[in-house]
Amino acid sequence: MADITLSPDRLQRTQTPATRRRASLRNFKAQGLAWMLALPALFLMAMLLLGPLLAVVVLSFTDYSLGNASLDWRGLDNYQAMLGDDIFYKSISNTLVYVGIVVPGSLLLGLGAALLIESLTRGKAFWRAVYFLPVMATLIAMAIVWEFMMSARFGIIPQTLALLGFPAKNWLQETATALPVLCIIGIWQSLGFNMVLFMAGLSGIPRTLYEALELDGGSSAWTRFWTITWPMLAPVTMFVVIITAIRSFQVFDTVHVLTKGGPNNATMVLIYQIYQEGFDFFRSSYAAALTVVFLVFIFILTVIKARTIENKVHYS
Amino acid sequence: MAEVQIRNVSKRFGTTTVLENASLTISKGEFVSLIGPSGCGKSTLLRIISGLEVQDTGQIVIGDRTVDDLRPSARNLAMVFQSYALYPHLNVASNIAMPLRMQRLNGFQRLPVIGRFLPGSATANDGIARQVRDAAEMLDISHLLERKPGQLSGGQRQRVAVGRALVRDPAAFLLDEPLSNLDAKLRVHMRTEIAQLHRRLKATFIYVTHDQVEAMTMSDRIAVMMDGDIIQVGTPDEVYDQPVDIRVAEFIGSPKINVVPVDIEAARGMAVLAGAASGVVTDPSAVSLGIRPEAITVSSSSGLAAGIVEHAENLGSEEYVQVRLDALPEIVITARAGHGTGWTRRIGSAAHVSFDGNRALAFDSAGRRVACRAYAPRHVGGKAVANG
Ligand SMILES: Nc1ncnc2c1ncn2[C@@H]1O[C@H](COP(=O)(O)OP(=O)(O)OP(=O)(O)O)[C@@H](O)[C@H]1O
Ligand SMILES: [Mg+2]
Repeated sequence: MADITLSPDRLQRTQTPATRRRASLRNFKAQGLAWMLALPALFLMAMLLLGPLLAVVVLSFTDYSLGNASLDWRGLDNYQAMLGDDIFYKSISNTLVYVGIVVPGSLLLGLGAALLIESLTRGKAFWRAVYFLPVMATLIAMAIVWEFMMSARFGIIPQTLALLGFPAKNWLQETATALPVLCIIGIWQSLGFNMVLFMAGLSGIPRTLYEALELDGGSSAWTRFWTITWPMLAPVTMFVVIITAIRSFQVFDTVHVLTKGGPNNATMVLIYQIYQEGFDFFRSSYAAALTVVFLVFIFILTVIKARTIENKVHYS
Repeated sequence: MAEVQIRNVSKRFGTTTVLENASLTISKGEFVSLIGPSGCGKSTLLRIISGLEVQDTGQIVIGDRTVDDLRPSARNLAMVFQSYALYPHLNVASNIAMPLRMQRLNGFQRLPVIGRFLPGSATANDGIARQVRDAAEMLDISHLLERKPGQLSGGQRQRVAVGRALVRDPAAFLLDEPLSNLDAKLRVHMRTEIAQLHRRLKATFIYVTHDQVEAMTMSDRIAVMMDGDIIQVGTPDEVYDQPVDIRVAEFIGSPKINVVPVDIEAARGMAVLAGAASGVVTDPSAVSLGIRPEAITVSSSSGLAAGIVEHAENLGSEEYVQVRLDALPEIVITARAGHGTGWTRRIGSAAHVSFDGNRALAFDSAGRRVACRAYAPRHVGGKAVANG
């Protein structure tokens, strides 16, 4: 048998230098064509994605401010300033608190809503639509509705709470409660989206698994949930956590419409600070430095997502 | 191990009746196959026994207890699903351990991490692990214990599903077409393994299949189902040789039984086949004869009925010859010919078929089996006289 097998080195020897040159020329031509075809996409990517990103990073090392004709290189000055900026610490911690409340809140409530709606025999579509409504509505418009609802004098929420003996206040204007109220609005907004993701995940769990568990002796809803539903939903849960975390990091519209970062910076979050520095105070270079910090957070989340979702939480 | 009784069970889904008054008793330690064409209600009956489906009327009795008021989890039955239904997120060892964990650990002891440190769970877990190892050993999957179901072949998954069923000591094993997802060769192999397993465990097995070879080779008894009815229960030989109904005769046996229409001669009660006296005396109500391929002889020179060889298949050990009858052109008779008879080279040529009257089965117009025997002339003083 051995003498009719063509081993790679044997193949090599049968090639003359001329054929090899022809082959490499053909290879080069093919590669050239590939690069040419990819060029428009690469160009657009550089212009629209990498270019602005690079510009932001470069700006963060300068003293540029919007409208100025010139700029000076300042090295790490902006970052130095950041370390001494109390509002920066405040906005970082507020953002983390916001993410830390909205992610678990909208995850658990979204999962709960999905489980409850899936267990219904009738009206599934109706409840699904109801919970999904806030996702489809523009948050700016909904924020205005929330502002009405929170108004101390005629808002439904303070008025209802007043009936229960709480002071009739606009909770959005209280230092202690403004951020929690924003978190509730954030949960209200992402709940429907997470619920839909969980429902898709639930419908992907084969019924026979529950039947097998039943015959194996597991009969309570508690056992069913922990033995099958929860582990089978793990990939969806991971996805929900990452997506909600990224979206919560970007919280801006509710802050902008409802509190403008106040009172006393109680609701100052990273993106809103970037917005203020860049477009209210025209300190573009400082805003750029804050943006770089923000991008680092998003980058970390994206890496976690890539690592876990694509490698670990898959059963097949 | 227990006896399982199905008493007058009926079930309908909406307006379609799936089971109609089905009754069957499976003795302790017996291997019974439920067999029938697709959609006849085999899975439904099995699911009713397990409790996953609730019957409209009738009872299921396991051992000496009526279990209709018990949840599936309380009936102590083990089921192997057609899709295996292994837990995809658990490895093979945990899959097999599941019924034992459910049985011996409480909700808190089953919790991940913490559960292991609760009182009593260490000893229970040791016992479970030992039993899982024993079951794996028995099924020859010890080397796979750490794998997830997704990393197993079809045959290995099937074994894990069987392992999960046999770790505990169930009242009965229910298997719903467990081999239908395997390739032909593996199917034959697993068939043997399951039959051996049954012999070793001496447990009650209820085995659903639509493959009559599986049913014939593995079962103590076969229950043939048609349109929601159990129409015959018997040993493989009984069902094969003495079918009560033409549908059973046609369903069991491969190649299929030959069915030919006959007229009954009034004088002797002789069945007339394609104009020729067949040599079989039947009940006057008979309208057709069923003859198995192995009871038919095909010859190039002489026989009961003439025809043309339309097709022949050489299986090596034997040949199957298909002859289209001259007198009944819509009938093709399949006959079994011996090894090396060379019919494949004679396709298109003339042939004659005849059959062994002792092996013929007669059926009436409703498909019910009626009396039938070979015509044996009574010898009275050296003269042949018709009897009957
Ligand atoms: N949940 C259900 N709702 C409505 N009809 C059903 C349901 N389950 C089964 N049926 C019907 O009941 C009949 C019997 O189904 P069953 O699954 O018992 O057949 P089977 O004998 O197991 O067939 P197969 O060999 O194809 O598995 C079928 O006609 C099927 O369409
Ligand atoms: Mg079925």
